[in-house]
Amino acid sequence: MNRISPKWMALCTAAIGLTYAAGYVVTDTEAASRASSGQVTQTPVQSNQPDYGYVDDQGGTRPSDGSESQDDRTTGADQAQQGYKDGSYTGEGVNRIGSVSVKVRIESGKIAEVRIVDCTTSYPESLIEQLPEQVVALQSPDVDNVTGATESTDDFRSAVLDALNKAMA
Amino acid sequence: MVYQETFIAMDTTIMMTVVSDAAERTIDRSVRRAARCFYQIEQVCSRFDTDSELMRASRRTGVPVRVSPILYHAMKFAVEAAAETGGALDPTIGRKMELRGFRRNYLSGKPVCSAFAENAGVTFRDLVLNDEKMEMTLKKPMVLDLNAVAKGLAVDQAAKILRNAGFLHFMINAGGDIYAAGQNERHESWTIGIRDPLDPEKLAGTVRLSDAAICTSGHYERPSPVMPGESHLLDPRSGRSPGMIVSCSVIAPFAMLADAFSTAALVMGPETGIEKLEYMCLDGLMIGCTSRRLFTKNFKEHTLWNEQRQASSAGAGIVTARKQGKGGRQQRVRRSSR
Repeated sequence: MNRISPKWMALCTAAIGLTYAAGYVVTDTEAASRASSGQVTQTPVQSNQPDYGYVDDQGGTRPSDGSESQDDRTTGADQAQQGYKDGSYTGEGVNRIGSVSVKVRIESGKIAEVRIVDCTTSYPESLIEQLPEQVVALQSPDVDNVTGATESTDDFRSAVLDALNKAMA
Repeated sequence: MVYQETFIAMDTTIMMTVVSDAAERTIDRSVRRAARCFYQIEQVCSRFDTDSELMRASRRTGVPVRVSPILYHAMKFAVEAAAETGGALDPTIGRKMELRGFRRNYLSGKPVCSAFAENAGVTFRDLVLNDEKMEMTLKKPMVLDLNAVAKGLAVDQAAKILRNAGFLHFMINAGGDIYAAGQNERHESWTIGIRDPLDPEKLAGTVRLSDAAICTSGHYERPSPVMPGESHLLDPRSGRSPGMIVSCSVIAPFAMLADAFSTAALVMGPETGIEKLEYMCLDGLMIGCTSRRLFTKNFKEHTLWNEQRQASSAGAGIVTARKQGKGGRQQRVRRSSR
């Protein structure tokens, strides 16, 4: 492998080294408590300047422009990221490759983990896990993994949504 | 033993493979801790969640905004990459991406719409960063976008957690963004196949990696739902998808570097892209729409590139393909029909 320049080395290590940096964890926790309790907490991004959106009843800010207000109000965040009860939930889904079971863990009202726990399909599990979009896949005893453009998670969505529905209840 | 676990985050599947003699419980604990990186970074950097720190920061124009270290360093990296590539990569293209139809939360299916932001004329030069105060100033209304950086960053952080936990041999594959540490269970460097963008059922070839990342950008997987012929890859300067190159794979010591520069080089096009990769001391492979292959000068040597030619069999079953190059050893490829 070539040696990359010290500048890029430094930029990468600065970003990667932050997983458990205090500042980040505080932000995360505050954002989570804000989302679940409705309290507006001071987070780094919420400095004392006025926001360009309005504050809704959840304490979250939304864009204020009215031209596409329908969209503004139905952003994915509200349903997908907020209002979940902490705990673990199992979701089942059936898709074109078979049935899938996932386990979703919610912490502080946010998704903390989505794990595929079972794939009952007509194809080997490892194959489906690697290439949810490409069922006709490349599996060779000599190839450990495949890189290609990002596949989507369409085949797992119904199972994840099933679990999230339980978390809403 | 080989331990494997698969997660879903960032609209992709994340597979972690660990080769270790440690107790399964110990591996499981570390793997799940590593997986947390993806959810944490997604919460901070998601463009599809109006409450993410990235989107909250996007709504504040004209004032310095103090952000968390993770968002700051990810943005700093993206802005430096933008400057390095003359804007081929640009963390201010969020609104453009929304208008190209890339605006749905993958779980809820609900669209985001940031009508407050300008579409035309916003570039990374309108974003000012202050290292000392960890502040960003958006000079124009814009939607920030870290989608070319966030996944790679999460892979790198997860790799760091596994390594700090004492694991030397593992692989993290986040939808094709791969970090391979140490060796596989056969005590060899990990063998990674690069998918042929012109025929997703085939591999263009394989590389051998150890303690390195590889990412592939291609505009064949996610077409724009609203613009025919366009994909999720955008040349921020022209407002169009790049045409000549259909996939670009980059190998780097960090996944975030491979992620960002595979996208940037693909946007820059064949000659300029390869030149930039070589200048950056990164190995890369570009595949053009006529199947033309362009390599950085050390790519084949560094990666033990193994070009694969597979018989294109329509049926299922075992396909035997002869490997190119020395040895000419037979390789078994198992295939399944759709």
